Amino acid sequence: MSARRLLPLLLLLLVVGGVGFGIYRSHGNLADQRRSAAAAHVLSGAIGSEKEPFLDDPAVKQALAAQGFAVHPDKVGSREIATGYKPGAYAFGWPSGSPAATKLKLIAHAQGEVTPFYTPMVIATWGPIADILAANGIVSGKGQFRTVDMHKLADLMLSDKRWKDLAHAEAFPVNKAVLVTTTDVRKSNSAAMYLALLSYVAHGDQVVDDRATAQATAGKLAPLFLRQGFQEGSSASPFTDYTAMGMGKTPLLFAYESQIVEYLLKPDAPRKKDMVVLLPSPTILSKNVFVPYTDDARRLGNLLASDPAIRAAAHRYGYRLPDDAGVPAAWKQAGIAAPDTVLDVADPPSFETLETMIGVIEAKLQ
Amino acid sequence: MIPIRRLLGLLLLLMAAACGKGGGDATADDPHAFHILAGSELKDIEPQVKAEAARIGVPVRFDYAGTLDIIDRVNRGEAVDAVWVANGAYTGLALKAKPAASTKIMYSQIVLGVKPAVAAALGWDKAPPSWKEIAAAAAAGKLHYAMTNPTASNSGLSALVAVASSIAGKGEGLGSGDVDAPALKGFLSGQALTAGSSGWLAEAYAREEGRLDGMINYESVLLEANRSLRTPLTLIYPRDGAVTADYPLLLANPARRADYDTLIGLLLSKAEQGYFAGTMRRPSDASVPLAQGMRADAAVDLPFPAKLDAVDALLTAYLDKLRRPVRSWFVLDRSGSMEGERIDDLKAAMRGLVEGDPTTLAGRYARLADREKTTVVTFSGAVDGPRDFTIDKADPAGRQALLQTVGAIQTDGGTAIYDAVAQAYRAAVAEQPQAPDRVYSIVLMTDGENNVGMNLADFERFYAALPPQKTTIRVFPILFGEGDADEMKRLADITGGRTFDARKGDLLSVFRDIRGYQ
Repeated sequence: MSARRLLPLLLLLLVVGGVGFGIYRSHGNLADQRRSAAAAHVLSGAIGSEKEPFLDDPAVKQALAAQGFAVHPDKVGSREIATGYKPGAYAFGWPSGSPAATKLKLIAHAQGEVTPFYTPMVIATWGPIADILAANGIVSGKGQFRTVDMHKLADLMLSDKRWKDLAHAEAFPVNKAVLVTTTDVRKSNSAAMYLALLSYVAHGDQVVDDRATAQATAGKLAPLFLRQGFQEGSSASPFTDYTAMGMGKTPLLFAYESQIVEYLLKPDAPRKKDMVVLLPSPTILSKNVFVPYTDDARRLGNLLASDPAIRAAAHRYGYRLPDDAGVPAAWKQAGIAAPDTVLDVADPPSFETLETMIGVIEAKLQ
Repeated sequence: MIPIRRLLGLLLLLMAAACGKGGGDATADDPHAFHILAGSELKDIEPQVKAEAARIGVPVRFDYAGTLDIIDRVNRGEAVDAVWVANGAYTGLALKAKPAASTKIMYSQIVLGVKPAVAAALGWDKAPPSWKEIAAAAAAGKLHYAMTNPTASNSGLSALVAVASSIAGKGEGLGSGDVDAPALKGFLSGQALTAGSSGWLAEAYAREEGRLDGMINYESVLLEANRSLRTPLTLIYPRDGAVTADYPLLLANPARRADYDTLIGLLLSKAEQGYFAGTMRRPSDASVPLAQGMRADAAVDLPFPAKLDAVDALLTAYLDKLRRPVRSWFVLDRSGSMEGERIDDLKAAMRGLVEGDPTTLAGRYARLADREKTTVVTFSGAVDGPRDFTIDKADPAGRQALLQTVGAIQTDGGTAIYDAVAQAYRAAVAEQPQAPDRVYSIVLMTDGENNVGMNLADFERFYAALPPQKTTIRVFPILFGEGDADEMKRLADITGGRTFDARKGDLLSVFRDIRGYQ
């Protein structure tokens, strides 16, 4: 084939290729790509799914970009972040619970981990439900943020009580079992936090730390998961059920305090006035421990923990910062009466113990 | 307000129809269109979603199937970008690969609508019953209701789960040991109209409302149906709750993440949420007001089972033990034009129904079930002698004889369609009074035009001459080969049946669809 005959073919290829590339590019997010191109340090990391909107927030992206960083997060369950660690696959892992983070630090031989923010686990509910529980001596306090006695609530649930069986249940006289709605403990960190908290309570306010106790305790607690029926794989879905369908669908929801605070911070959020947040006594903290594998990632972690714009964004997403003196002023201004400090906190079990307990429930769900 | 919106909807539908089935529009051929495999419950919102998605630069393409079929297809590895179903729980349990993202778009609960007089007679206008009490009323012959087939459609499945939970005394997840046969059988004895889709059920109810007391369906479908029913239904929100459809859009192809996010932004926008509210569904954005006439509070939620085997146990029991058993006629064309691939396809499809396929949901639940009676009527220029078969779990003889009969069909001669259908119809009408608890239907499969014996007009005269109580048997013609689509449609319409199109798809999946209506 002569060069003269080849030339049009080459031109054609160029045009077709160019158009194809153009289509490909137009299907991606151009703004993102430009920003990434400008950033000196593009880091990909495995994160718990609920942090994605935070990392996607324009203010956070901008603050990172100002320091030459761009982050490509992959949503991975907190357990898999640890169990699925592969050297070189990511620059950092950012699970939502400290058991997974501690495990990950060990496996990855990581150093310089930071906790940019944390959030206590709460039970999101509704005024009439909180009042019924108060009338039964399980909930105390007044207003939007109240306290629930986790021992009494666990006993009530484990005794197979239904709402209509409770005293003063006129506002919710239904046959539905008294259960806290959680996500699927096999797939989602918030349900694992629920299991960790319940195991502490069921073990006489002690952290479960041996295999036999873990198996026995999880066996005892398993009905609180199985009897719920189908459980969602990530914490966003049941929260949508809670806000959209109200008390009948979700009387009690195990949630991150950050989820409900972020929601309450929206000026036009519906059903806000009917919502009540129960702080379990004791509760457990979801610590968002950032585990860096590289020097760049260590710098990124420090930036996430120290940059004023990023810290302000974390407050907007309902998180508490480790050095907060009390709840942020913005929360108070929005009328959010969350407690300044959360003192009655259970320590989580080790990753292995938590895995053992999840395994017991997993076997019963199959 | 509403009439204008409905008029607009109708106009859009007409435009869509004018464009031809499943496309003809620009996006159908666009290889970049975001491909959504959707439950047939979502057909009503397609024109709006399609138009708005195209406007924001993410053209979408819809394909429809039943929930079980969707799960089978995705599990088989069919390349789709997203799945949009009514029931996120069942899909979540049955899909082998976890979707890359899942977002709930709107809600509707599965409740009961009854005629006001029936509600008053049963006292349900004053205090809502439990599902258990609804089951008892059906068992006592006081409630003849329409409900879709739980093995084919989510609304029927959700109702069956609700009744089983209520009978088991559970306001919590149902286990596999919770199938109380006698009480559920009593409930199902009142099912006087069945269908494979919630939309078709509502249409059939509207045609036959005189002989029925009510319908179990989505709250949204019941409220829409009430706009045109002669006797609008009183909605009953059972005391012990209802199973909730949550319509999640599931991302199946992670490479389309950006388009998925854009679409979610659209679907959750106030405007679209408002549109969904107008379809009588409950928006997932609670700041969007509900449509007028809707109850402010949703019913208490009855949880869906946590384990697939609990659903499996319920559906298997439904088929083999609990439901009114099927009595069907398969009227099969063996004329000369069927020779070759066509007759082979037909034999393979019949074999698929008889043998089932444990590896797929459709194969498990669309098979011929225990207690079922089937008659095969073959025809060419004349009608061959009918052969009866009884499906019995304990005795494989009936299945084997049926397989042998189908395997031995020989092609030859002309096409006496209406002689064959009339013979089957006469036999069905004669048998019905002796076994009224069965569900009667006739499936017609032909690839050509009638050229011997009765014609359609003769059949219509035969049909019109029957006493009204003997005209309740539906005919389900399959469009195939050179069959006369208009005549087949007419035959379906006069008998209250519907046609199924096998001109493009494979015959076995069409047979499986028909099973949902039997």
